[in-house]
Amino acid sequence: MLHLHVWGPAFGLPSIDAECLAIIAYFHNVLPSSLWRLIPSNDPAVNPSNLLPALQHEDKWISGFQPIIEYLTSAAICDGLDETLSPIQRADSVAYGAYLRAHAGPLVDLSLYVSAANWAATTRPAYSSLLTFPLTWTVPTLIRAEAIKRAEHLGLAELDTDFDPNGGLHLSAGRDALPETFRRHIPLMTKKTVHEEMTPEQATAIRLFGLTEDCLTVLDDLVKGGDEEHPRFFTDAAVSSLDCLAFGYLALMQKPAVPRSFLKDWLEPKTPRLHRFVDSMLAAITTRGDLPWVTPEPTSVARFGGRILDSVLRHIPNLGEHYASELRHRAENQKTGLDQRALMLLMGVVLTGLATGYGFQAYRAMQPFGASTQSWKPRRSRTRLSEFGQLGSMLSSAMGPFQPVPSGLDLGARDQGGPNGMLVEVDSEVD
Amino acid sequence: MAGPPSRPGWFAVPAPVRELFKIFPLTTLPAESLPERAPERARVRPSLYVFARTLEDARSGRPSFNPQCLKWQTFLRIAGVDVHLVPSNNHASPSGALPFLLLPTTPTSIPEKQPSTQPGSNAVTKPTVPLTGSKIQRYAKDNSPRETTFSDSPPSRTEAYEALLSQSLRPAWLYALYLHETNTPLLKALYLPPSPILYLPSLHTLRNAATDEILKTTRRALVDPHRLLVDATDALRSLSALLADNDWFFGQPDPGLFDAEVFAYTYLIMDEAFGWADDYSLAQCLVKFDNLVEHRKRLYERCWPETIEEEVNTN
Repeated sequence: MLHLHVWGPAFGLPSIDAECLAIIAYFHNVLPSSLWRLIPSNDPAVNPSNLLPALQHEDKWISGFQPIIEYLTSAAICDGLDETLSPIQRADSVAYGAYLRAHAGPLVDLSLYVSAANWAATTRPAYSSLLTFPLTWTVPTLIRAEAIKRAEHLGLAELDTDFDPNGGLHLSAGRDALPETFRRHIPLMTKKTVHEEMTPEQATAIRLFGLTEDCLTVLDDLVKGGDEEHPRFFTDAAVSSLDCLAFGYLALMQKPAVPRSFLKDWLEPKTPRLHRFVDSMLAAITTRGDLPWVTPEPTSVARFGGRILDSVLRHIPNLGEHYASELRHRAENQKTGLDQRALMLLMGVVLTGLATGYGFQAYRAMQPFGASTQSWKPRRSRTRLSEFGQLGSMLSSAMGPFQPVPSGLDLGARDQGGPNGMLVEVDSEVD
Repeated sequence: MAGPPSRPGWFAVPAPVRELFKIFPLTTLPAESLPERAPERARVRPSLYVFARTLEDARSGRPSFNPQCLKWQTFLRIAGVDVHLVPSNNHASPSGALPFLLLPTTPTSIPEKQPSTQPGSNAVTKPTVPLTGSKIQRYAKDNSPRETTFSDSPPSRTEAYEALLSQSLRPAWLYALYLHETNTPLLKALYLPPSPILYLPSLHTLRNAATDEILKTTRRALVDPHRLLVDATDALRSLSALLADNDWFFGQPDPGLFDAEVFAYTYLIMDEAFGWADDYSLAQCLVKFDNLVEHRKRLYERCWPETIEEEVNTN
């Protein structure tokens, strides 16, 4: 039995992730549903490569679209979908697969993750329905941060309105950067310019549409010709692995109901063939019967807690990056347990923690700045006048055994101070 | 809301100080023009700034060790544009990456209306803007002495196969050169400063940048050397199928930019003098595809005929 672990369904599609969608389409086309199980585990950490989709067959884990397909063929589980292709068609299949990852992938990232409006209205709620409670606060933002990194080279950071190149308050942001209470006191002097009135998607529309056009025209050129009702990339009737991969990316461009739908707006009128392609692939999946969904095994409390802790740790600035790269390093070298490197790191963290704690305590114990030095003198005689320094001693010797009436406050202080000294409260507030 | 103007605020500058500061600046000198108007010597040939091992290598025009630089170097050679190679590094580049091309300095006539703020701009040469990427391609096409018309290969397929190079072959290249432990001496010789104080931090930075780049392009969570090699082999197999029995890619009569791009990788991968370690070998993936090896040899003989002659003479 093959167990396929994926990200769960969203937007009316079987999965929220492009490669998961692609592999689901592939499995559904090559295997009868009695031979495999689809598990929406929503946790990349189920397999050692930390990537979904992941295939569990007996004791082996294989992750990623291309490796899983290669494994299916090499383990002779089923015939590949690309058997009938000519060598040059196979070459095209590999090349266009790379093209999809290189160009369609960042477009999907832009639309679903980078664009703040789409993220808030569509993608994040979708993740919230996939994950359980505390993880909905930590995991989606990490996924988004990764997507933003992948789409960074397109230079369209404006889509993320939270993104601020200079960090913090800066003048070009104008009124919007000021807190609400300040804004009320400043009279509204300027009207918003046309540029400010536009959404970031409108302001960058030319570049966005340029990118979309470049990417989709290349794909559209390959689909040209053939069946108009059921367009496919190579042969008319059968489905190839490239069809599955393209379905994964194009469906995520077309199906999610995003408020700023620049991809869909291009896909529908300009490349109707690709639009029909997605619809017919989706229809083919549904007509072949239900997907063999299985509810994932309930995660243990320890594992769940570990995942929460892990995602929280990754959020810590600076430290989180080191933590993530250290974990990646360990996973790459397949290390488990403690080794010298981990031990050194652990000791380093503990020592730094101790030093910081000690420093903090030492700081707390220091006198407040500006407080005068206090000195205690043993009280030789019972007279209170000697408390007033030299003058007091002189007075007391002049006045003889005179005892002033102690006030209530003094009494309390004497009790705290013990027999030989007393604490004097000094106003230590320093401004 | 504003108070009467006579009442100074808490933060108002006292009047005498304000008067004093109003004097400055005493005079404003006209802006200096860039020193580029007076280069050390006028360039007669365009200069291509590339990574090169030694000054001698650059002077004799040997292939650069960086795939990006070699790509444009090869393309300029295909076009027959004679360039002067300058060994350089990323810090010299205005865009932060090599290569870039500086055009030959050309004398220009003094414009009719001279803006009075630039008295020094009646220079004999026009400041040149460094060319990068597709601008080099346009320059090479415009200035090619040969009659080759760089007939355009099918654009969408070219783009797909270019993605194959950047998506599948480049991560394996990056891993082999930057991250593979046994290639560290090679990396040190090529990109790192000799000083031990600078060496370790630079190595660390380079490796982190390479890891980030590989993870971003492969869209995976881990760097898997074996997987990268498998992907690279797939890419080479596809390229081999695309080339088939033709001399140049896409069945063109003359080599083009895509040929140069493939050559930039295949030449360096199979270069015996490059100093690759044996245990992570892209060359072993490449030798399986005879037509790619032939393509590499063919383009090298076409673009570097002088080194072939040298080799014949020395033998």
